[in-house]
Amino acid sequence: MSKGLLGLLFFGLSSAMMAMTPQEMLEKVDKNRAPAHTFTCKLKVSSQKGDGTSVVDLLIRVKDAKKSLVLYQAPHSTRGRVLLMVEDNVWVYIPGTSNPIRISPQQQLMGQVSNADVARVVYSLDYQVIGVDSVVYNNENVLVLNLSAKTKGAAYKAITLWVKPDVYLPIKAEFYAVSGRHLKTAYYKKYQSILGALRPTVLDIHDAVQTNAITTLEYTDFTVDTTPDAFYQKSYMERVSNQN
Amino acid sequence: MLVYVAALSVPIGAATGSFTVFEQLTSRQLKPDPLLNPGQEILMVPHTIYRHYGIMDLRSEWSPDWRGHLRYRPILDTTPSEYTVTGILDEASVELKMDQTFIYVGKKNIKDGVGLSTNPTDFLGENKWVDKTKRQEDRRTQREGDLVVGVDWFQDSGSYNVIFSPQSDAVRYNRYLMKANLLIESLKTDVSASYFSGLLSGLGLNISTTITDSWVFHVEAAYRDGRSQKTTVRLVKDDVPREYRLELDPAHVSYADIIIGSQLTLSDASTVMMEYYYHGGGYSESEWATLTDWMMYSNHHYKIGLAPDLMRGYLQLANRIIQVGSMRQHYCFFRFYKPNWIENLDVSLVGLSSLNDGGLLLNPYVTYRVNDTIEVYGSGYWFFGSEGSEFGLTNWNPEITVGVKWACF
Repeated sequence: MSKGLLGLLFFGLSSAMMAMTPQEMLEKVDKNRAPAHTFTCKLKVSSQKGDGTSVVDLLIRVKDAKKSLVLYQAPHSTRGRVLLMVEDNVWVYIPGTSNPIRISPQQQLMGQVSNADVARVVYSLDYQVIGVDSVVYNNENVLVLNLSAKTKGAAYKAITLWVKPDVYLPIKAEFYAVSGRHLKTAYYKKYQSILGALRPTVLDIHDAVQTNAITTLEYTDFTVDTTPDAFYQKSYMERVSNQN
Repeated sequence: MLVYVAALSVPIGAATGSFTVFEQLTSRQLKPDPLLNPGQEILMVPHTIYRHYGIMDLRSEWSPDWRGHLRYRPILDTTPSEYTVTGILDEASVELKMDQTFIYVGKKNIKDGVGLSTNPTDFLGENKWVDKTKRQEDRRTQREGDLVVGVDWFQDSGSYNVIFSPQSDAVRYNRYLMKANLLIESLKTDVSASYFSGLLSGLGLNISTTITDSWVFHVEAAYRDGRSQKTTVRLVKDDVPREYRLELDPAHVSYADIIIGSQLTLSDASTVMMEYYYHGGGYSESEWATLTDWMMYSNHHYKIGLAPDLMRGYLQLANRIIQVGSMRQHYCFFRFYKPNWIENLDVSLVGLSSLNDGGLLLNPYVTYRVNDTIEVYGSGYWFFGSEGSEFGLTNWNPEITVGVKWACF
């Protein structure tokens, strides 16, 4: 195929894409990250720092994309912990302590991974797209979505998101603090067909400062599963913990 | 550990359990001549206590709707002069799940309140002994429960609880507790309101809210009305020696207990929390003056040999009623907590100041996770205060605790 025809094809595709609003593009990316607004999955978080690696196994329940229940299943020292996120509200329940407590979104529970990294499965709730660029990344033409926090509960001030233009699959994301400091970079990998679409199932997160600190998130066992709204409450967290 | 058991005539169903062992040593530096224990002659206060105890937790599910829970603590305390063996059944209950409603009966350790320094809305748990060698968050979990019958009802908008606790050997009157728990999403605020009926009835309110992405604010308040639970000292006869009487204040009282607090998360994941605590049920300045006057009188006259048996009796009573950290009316609490200060090492520093007399308690705490199942911890208490101040009344200073926690399974 000639270069001219390729360019025309890319222009045509770009035009089609530009018919979508930037926020719609982000929502399409979110649809590929999460199989539905309501689903369950397992998540293994492996944090590598220097010579050591720590692994945490989680069960995540999401309802309407805005409510998340995260249950720690392993290791033994964290088993039974529950993280609940409802909109911008975050609570943690730790077995052996008195009651669930409200925590600030900034409080982190696992190394380089924040509560939002685990509990929030979509970006479009907390971020708006303020710019779209086309760049070449790894010899591919990709889109770069520049996201800015739109809610107080957003974990980051800004995110730069690299996206495959034809299928809206995330490739890479850079996360920035309020100060503008680059905090970490995430690489989306291992795309698999899950519940009717190709989705990334592995996320490698590289700390921008401690370059030997890498955290890997591996998602498995996706199911569309409904939990009653009533159970996404602070007062129910101890029961969730006891069911583990 | 997951165990399927088909037993005799009573199916136990699917059971999960855990067993955690604690080996702990507490060492106290006894004061040579404290106000309440002159010459360390009134009470035999052990300077070291070895505590070996376990927490056995068993949960059983007989069907999707029926489940049971058992929590038992065997304890062996050893001092240089004696040992005591006790077993405390913290919880033993059965629960029925009906859709979004849970009905339970048995012994349960019900905990309420968002405060960290203390919990005035923890009505069922008030006056219970807690292990102060533990961190604030952990103290109320290792606590004996109450006999209760209750219903927890979960709705999309909130949850509601009704609990009845019948009188027992420990609590000689019936108690009722009703709670409503709501989330106001738009304000990012939890609200919990409760009504308690007992000897000293009360209304409770708990509020916690996120101010910014790193700042949480909370309020815990209780309004109490009923028979006072305070022990007062009354001078009955101003003779030589004086005759004092200790009695439960017979007055009908109404007062408020309020905690206002805030927790800030810093960029390195450490947290700073501060709380102001107003204890309306605490001793007023005049009541405290009478109390300390009595204690100082008893101490002085015991030492000079005037009615030593009577003075000894007074000092023994004084030791029984003194509960350092909750007797006055105004307190300020702070806690600095740094998780993973060094790999697997968490550190915290707690301070509690009595704003009535300027006394201070400092409590550093460190925890080191050796591996997934073993944890080593250490804590200390240092008391600062004049002889007649609340924190100056302890018979020892400081107190150091070191221990190992092993989660066997």
